[in-house]
Amino acid sequence: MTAKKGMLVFLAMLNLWPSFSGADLTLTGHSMAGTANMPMSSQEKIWIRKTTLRRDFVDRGRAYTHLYDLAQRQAAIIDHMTRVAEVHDLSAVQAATEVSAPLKNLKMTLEKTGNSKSLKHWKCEEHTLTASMPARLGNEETVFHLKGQLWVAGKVKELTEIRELTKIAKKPDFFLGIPAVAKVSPAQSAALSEVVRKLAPKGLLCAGEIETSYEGNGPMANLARRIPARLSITFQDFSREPIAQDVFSIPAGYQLVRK
Amino acid sequence: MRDNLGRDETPVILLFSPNVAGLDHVDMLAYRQAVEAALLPLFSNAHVNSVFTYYSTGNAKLKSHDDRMTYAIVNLKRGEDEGVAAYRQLRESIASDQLQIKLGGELAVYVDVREQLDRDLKRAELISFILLAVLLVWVFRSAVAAMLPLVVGAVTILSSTGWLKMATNFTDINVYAPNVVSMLGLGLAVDYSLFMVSRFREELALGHLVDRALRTTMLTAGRTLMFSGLTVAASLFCLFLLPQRFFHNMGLAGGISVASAMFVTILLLPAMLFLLGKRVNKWVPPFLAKQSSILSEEGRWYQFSHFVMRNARVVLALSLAVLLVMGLPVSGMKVGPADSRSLPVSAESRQVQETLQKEFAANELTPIMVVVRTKGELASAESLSALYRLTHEIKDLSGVTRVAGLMSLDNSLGLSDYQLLYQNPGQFPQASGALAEFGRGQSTLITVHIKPDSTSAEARELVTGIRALPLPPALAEMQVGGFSAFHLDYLTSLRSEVPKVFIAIVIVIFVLLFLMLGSILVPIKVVLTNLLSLSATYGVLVWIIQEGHLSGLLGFTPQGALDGTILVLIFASAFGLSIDYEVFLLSRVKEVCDATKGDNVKSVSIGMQRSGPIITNAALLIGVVLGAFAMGEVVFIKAIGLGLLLSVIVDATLVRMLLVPSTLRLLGWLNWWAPRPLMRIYQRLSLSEQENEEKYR
Repeated sequence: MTAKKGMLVFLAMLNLWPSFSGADLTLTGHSMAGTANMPMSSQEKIWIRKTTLRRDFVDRGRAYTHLYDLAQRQAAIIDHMTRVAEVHDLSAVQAATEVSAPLKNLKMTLEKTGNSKSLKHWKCEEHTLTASMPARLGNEETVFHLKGQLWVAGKVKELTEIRELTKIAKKPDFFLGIPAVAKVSPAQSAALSEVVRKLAPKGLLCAGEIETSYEGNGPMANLARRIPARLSITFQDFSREPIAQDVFSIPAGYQLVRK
Repeated sequence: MRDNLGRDETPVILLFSPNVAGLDHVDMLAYRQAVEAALLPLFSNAHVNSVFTYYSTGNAKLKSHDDRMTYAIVNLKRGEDEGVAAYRQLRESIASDQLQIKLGGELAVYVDVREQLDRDLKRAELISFILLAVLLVWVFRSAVAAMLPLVVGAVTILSSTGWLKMATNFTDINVYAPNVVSMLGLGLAVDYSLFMVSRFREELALGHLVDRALRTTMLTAGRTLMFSGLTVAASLFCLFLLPQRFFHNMGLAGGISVASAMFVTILLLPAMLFLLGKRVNKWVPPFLAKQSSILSEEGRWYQFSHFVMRNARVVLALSLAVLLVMGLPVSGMKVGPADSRSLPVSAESRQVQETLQKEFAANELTPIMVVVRTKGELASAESLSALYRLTHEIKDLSGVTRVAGLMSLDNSLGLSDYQLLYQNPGQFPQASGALAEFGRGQSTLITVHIKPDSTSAEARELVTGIRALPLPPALAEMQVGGFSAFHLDYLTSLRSEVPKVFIAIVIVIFVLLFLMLGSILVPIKVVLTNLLSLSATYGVLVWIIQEGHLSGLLGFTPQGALDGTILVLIFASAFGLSIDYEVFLLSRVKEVCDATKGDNVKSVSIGMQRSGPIITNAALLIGVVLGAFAMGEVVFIKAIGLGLLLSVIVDATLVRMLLVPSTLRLLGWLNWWAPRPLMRIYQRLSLSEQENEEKYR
């Protein structure tokens, strides 16, 4: 799993978060990761029930599922082509991340612009996100920047069930990230998890467009600036229809690998 | 690609077009959602490796010129059956209320061909049996005798199909094999039975008892058909000299069918003849009761042969001229690969292929695949430098439209950028993504998209051009594959290997003919005549299949080229088959010649008279079988059926009726001459028919 896809997960998480209330919520939309000559777009589907969530997406033609059980602090990364499910302990991932990227170094702002767009009956208000954090890029000391627009629906009936989310987000050990991304890009992973925490009380994410960049004078930073990663996600629909229980289970017959 | 890159997959095309009003543009959200809804079941399908769409890749070449159609590329795991079961499951699982979905691609064509062949086989067998039943009653003028070849034919098909199924336990059997087995097996079984039953009845007509008639039948017609079976089988087994497994398969299938026909005829038929005895002539339809005897020495064939021998030079010149004229189109023969056009227009995979060619910008399905193995680590500076150079040299070749690989992520990136990228893949998602997509270990894939059609000579030239590029020192190996490369290699292999097969077949046939006839010149003449006959067959095939004459009547699309495989298979089958009738005639002539102490004119005339009706009937019967198969919808089998049918027609008419008697007359005593040492070998190993010479005095 790449950092790019990790950021897409982050964008998806933004949307999932506010709806942790016990009711089921399903969101469908599309994401796009535009990098150099290899732009990849994916259909996105997210299912949420209480403290569990599932995201299905396609990366380079292959189908993946991310299953999170935030109460148990577990993440299962499922590759449907190889039929392998890697189960990770999020606490361990978080501990490893914080060693390399302490959150105290993160600077972040999230401000309304006054613009809005709609998603069905939701009014989604535009916010400008800026975040930066020291990060290592190879052997270079750089500053990682995250900036873009997020559209958030704040006053919608689906928000009435976010109590469990709020509880979890307020916990000091809150962490939401992808283990593979956290390993190679701890700063990015920490920043993204923190954005989720900050955004959660504001509402449900309807859409997001984000660009990442690095500040620095070394060759790695220079190269990264020349091929910036642009990421976007847009949801077109949502539903509160009950979700079958097996949606939140690792499919039968898959090889289970505990990490 | 399978061993070094772990890619053992086959692409299937899902072509989407709107099925309801309102979905006018592929960029409409509703269109995209409909496509994605249709594709959703595939992501939980264990046989699907990956799915790429216009939406997921942003590749505009995946949408049609009018923006109303788009296609998805579904990569299926090949598995042991080349992905056929997975394809069928995919076909069942894919559906949409809003979109029409058609399946195409190489695998879809293969499955469509397979299913069409299955339908053609059943139809051809049914038609053959009905027509054969009618013709056999007419030929034998006895319903009992007519039943015998049908029983032998049916048992041959059952037996050869059983053997073929058994062979699948040890080797993969080609999709065309069952049809070839059935076509050759049924045709030969009926022909062999005809020879045997005719001879048996002839012996009975001479007043011999059943057991003596049967014994003579076995010693004469039995030997001839054994020889015939050996020649056809030997020709087909020469296909094993070719390196392609396909030809081994066809050699095996052909061998099985010929062996089945031969053994069923010499084992089952004599038993049936013995049990039936004189009742073999029973159940004569009243309207066929009158029959002229072939034993007459003043019959039409006898008189005709006299006419030919009186005008031997003119007849020889005219028949050679006709054969040469028939063979003229061979000079314009083009050898090319078969594609979806070999399927009927109603076949879905063909419709998809034609839509892609007409409605879409470029061929994204059959690129040239270049697999490169580096000497050092793939991401080392030297390896990347070499890959960079090679990628750009490929990109600069005329006809290359796009190159996808590690070194083609962004045109603005230079070598040092790529080196930095791939040496830090964890920091650059582009690099890790590209490595996951194109690399594994020390190997990497470069996909080369080209402007020419992948079946064209220009595409093959591009393959040659890529192969000719100098390999930078840091690269250990470069292998060029894909459809165009496969076809280029195939043609090259055919060009270098087929002459060996031709020579082997000619030698085998020559030796067998010598052992049968004890002559040197006659086998040479037979081989030359056969080559002429085959060139005439090829000429007509070019005229029909390649150029498309009679395509409306025969129900196929002109192919523009002949599949090299067809030519080889026709050569191997027809060379053996077409010798049948000549051998049957020559053995009769030799038999009389021996009995009459070398009376050339008499032996030819009697030989023609004795064998004429039988050969004509045999050609008619096998022609019915071959014709029934030639009416199939798949051009591959149609061309083989037609080619063999033409060969039989030429052999039964021009060769047997004109060339053989005229050359026999002109060669005179030289016909049966052989050097003394060879004659001794012949006398020791002779395969010739044994019969009492008193009969001809």
